[in-house]
Amino acid sequence: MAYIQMTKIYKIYPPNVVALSGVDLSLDKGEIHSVIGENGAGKSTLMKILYGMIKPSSGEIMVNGQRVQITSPLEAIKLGIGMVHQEFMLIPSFHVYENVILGQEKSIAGFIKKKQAANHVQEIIDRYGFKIDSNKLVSQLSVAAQQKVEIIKQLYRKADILILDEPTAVLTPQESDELFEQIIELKRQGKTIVFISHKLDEVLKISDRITVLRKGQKIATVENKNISAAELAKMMIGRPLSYQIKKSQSKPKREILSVENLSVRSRKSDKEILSDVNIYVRNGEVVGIAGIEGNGQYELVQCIIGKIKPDSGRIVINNADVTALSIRERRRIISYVPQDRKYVGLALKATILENLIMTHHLKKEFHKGFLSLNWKKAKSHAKDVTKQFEVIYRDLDEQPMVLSGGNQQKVVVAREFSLGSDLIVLDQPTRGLDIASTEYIHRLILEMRNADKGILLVSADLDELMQLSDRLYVIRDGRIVAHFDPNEVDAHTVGTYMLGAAG
Amino acid sequence: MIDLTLHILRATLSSATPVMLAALGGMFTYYANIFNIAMEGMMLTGAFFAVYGSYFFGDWAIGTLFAVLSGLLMAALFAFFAIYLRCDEFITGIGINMLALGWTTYALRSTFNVKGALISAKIVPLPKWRVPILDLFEPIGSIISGHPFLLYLSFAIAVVLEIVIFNSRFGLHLRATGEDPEATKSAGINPIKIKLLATVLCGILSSLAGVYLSLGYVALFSENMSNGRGWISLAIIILVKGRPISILGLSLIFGLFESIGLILQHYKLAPQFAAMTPYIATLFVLYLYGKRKRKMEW
Amino acid sequence: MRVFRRVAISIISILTAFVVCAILIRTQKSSPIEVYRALYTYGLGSWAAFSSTLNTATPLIFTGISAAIAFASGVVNLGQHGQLLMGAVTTAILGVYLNIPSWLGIPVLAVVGGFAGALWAGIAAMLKRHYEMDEFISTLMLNFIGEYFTIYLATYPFLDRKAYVPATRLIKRVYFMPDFNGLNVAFFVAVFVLVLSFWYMKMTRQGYESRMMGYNVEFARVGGCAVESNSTFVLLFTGFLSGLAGALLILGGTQHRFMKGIGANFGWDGVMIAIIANNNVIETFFYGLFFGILKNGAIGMEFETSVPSEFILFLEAIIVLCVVGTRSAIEYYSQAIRSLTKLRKVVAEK
Repeated sequence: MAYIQMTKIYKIYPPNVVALSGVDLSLDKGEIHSVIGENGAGKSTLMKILYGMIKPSSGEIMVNGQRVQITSPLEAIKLGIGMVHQEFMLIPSFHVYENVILGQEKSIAGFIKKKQAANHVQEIIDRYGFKIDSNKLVSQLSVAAQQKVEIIKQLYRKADILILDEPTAVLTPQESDELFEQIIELKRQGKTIVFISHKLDEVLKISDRITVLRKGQKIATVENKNISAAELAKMMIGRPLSYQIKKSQSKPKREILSVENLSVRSRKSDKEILSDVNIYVRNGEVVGIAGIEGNGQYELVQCIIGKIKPDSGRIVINNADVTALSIRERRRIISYVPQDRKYVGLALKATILENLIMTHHLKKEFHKGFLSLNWKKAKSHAKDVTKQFEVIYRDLDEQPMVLSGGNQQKVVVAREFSLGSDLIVLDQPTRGLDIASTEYIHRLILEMRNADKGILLVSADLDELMQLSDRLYVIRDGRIVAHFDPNEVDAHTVGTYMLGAAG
Repeated sequence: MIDLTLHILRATLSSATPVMLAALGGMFTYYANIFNIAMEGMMLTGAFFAVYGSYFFGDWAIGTLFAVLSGLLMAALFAFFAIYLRCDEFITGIGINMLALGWTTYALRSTFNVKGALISAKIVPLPKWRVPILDLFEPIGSIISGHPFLLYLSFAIAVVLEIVIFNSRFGLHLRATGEDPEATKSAGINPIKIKLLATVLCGILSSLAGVYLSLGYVALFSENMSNGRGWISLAIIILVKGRPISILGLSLIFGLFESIGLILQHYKLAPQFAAMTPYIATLFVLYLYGKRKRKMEW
Repeated sequence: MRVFRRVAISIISILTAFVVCAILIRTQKSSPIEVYRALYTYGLGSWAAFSSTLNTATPLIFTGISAAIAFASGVVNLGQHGQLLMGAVTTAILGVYLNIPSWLGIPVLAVVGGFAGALWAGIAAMLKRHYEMDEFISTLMLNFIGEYFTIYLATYPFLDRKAYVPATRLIKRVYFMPDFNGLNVAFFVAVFVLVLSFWYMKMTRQGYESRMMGYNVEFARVGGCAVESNSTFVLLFTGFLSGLAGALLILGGTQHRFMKGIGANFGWDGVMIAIIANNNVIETFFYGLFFGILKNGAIGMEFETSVPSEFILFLEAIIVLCVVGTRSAIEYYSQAIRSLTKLRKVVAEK
């Protein structure tokens, strides 16, 4: 009998997005069970249902043969289920121990004995060999350490089943290896692990069984024996992985962007966020920035587009010093795809048309008279670019809110790539997208490169960087620590520099 | 001169109390990350129902009870719209404030048949407490002793809340809910429950602020008598980022401004300018804060 | 289709509000039907009632559009009350002393009143731009300061000693705004302002930027919109509109002088109107008329039934809550129903 049995799980997100349709999943005690599928396949939704974060539209869950209703995470915790979410569920301003005990505090008349709690948490941390100080603030921890806090939180709650949702997405190859060792150690202690990923090599490395989801449907559950990555990929995306990036040698002639001795100091914490950064981007090349998240790449991009004023250094675009210019002035010469499409890239409640003409509205050709916008022109432009960039929509007056993630990103990309700027700054352009959309956007990036644009690409996805970049910088603690030709190094080496472990 | 100083200090304590109580109420919703601007309205209904109960039952305790019940009702309304129906919190707040203003004005007319203000000997004010030992030490005794008991209670509440927010389970859950409701839910806490509780506590404390206004400060009810104190309390909360002990401090500063304004009236300052002082003080404190914020942009 | 849906939702919401109010009127031992009939008769029933309603609605339309433009641009200007009073007092004082012909004097006085409102909002704009002070609190505080300041002006320096309450002297008769058959010219100014505001928000580049700021300020900023200067402009412009409302109250209203309480609740009424109109200027205009009916009808209601006119402010608040509540509820349940039908379909397909 299966330890946990999820049967015929359906989930419709209002109003009509089908996330899961009739998915079954069974977990055996003490196994490492991987759930794979591309972005949007429903992996996280399925797991959040098991953890009680989301209510299923229909379906049933059995634990040890008993039918259970998991209506809240509290129920799940009582059943011994713990989950480490892809987006960490930690309170940044709380101490490590407060985060760990949150919701399960031991208290006397409602009051917490802080010292005792911190010591108790520290004991658990030490017992499992994590190296974290329970009295530190979570906001001061690295991403990898925050993930460990999440795992410790589950251990404190004595979870028997541990769900790890895309845990390696934010880790370097080295950190991932360390995590796998810890997972295997947990299995040895009798815990059941659900491992969610879309990286097939990892899945093959540690799982006992693998369940494949595609577009909200379960394709198969297979034993991890004599199965190849290619077979899994075929199940995952419904066709063989044809995806191969071919690109010609870049032949840059002139500098489009040059960042010189750029330094930024945070006034809040008085810490240097960027120190003496020097990078350049030339025409017809993709320049990648690799780094563990939170090492200054976000701030670097913000400096280039003008949101952050640097303390020293200069930024030169097309041989003109733009350091003193406002965002408005810079956006006339920069195309920019921000990392957060929902909160920065788009106005979800405006219309698709209004989203598409942002920044374009600064150009003369969209002006009419002294003050007005030429809406007719805007509309025909919007129709052209949505066609050119294959955006699927019903009406330009619709809100982008109703579009799928891939289509939303296509709206952003269509807007930015049609600006015609020489410099294109891309911050995580494919995060969270399914494989088809990712491929499409990769193809567009290379098209723009071949059209002689200079492209700066920041990404947390090391594979993406290795495939697309002509040159690659590694940033760590706000410093550029390495500068490679990606053809000459492997991901592991880059990872070493990201971690600062290279000599 | 000494007399004047004593008088100002004594008035400061009294002026600070309603603003502080409302701010402490709003502190709960602030930590729960509810953009609650309904303190003004909760205070106003509290003030009205305190007078209502006191007038008809001849007992300040029943007045207070009525006020607290009205605070609960307002909190329930707020929760129904903002939490259950998921309306915009700001809009709900404005609706609640207008409802309070409309209802109290209307009820003043329809129940007591007066326009403007209800002044009556039948309104029993809050009893005053003489603090036993302090009375012996002049001049401290004459500043601190002899206020309505609610004043002492509210200062005590501020201190207790400082401890509760940072050391108790509830405080931990409250702050967690405000910072990240999803993460809090994931930790096995029901963030909706916490938000409801925060709203209810806000309703109770804000209505007590109203009680102090209509039964402590004076013994009357007048149209729109909260007169922006709820907004000032909101400014205080935002300025001190919700910390109870700082709310106490800042409320005293506002109390000082208000009482100085009142005193200056006796020195030929137009009463209108005297009445302006708390609002100007709010702007001024916000200005100082803005200057500091500018220095630490990020 | 979208317009139809919006109108339908508005009608359902207002009906909900009327039902809730009917119950409340019953608890007050009056007949809701009589109350509503009185509201109708005195608000809409005859040309006299209707023109009077339009006059009553005029300041509401101004403050409503002022709030709607501000909110739609993400600028929380809650200072309509203070701005209106400053406009009114400026016009009232100048109207006593100014000595120019009527055809020039009326527009000059109106515009100067508008600028006084803009100036008052400008304090908040300045504090926001240079000291990052939230305009939401500063405009509120300026309301109270403006209220006391204008009362001071009417009580001391510019007091009309013959008046029974603190008030300034009557403005010159030549500056009284004409009316046609009871309908004051001020209403046409309101219609003009409506057209202008609509054009500004929908057609101009700055209006586009402002609306995008209202939807998502980060999106607008990163997209190259001039967020700071647009916010300043919007504060000044909406301050101007409120000031103009005050000026026209003096020039066109019934009192032709500044007196305590002249601002009534116009500021907050405007805010409420903008809220239920979803910050859309056209809808704001119609809700302004609607509130005008209620306010004008209230006098008749008090006259005909035992319900005092103060009931209307309460009714307005109920309408606001019912409209926003019903809107949310419709949104939520229509989505829930759609997802349920989808589920049935998906399960059936399997």
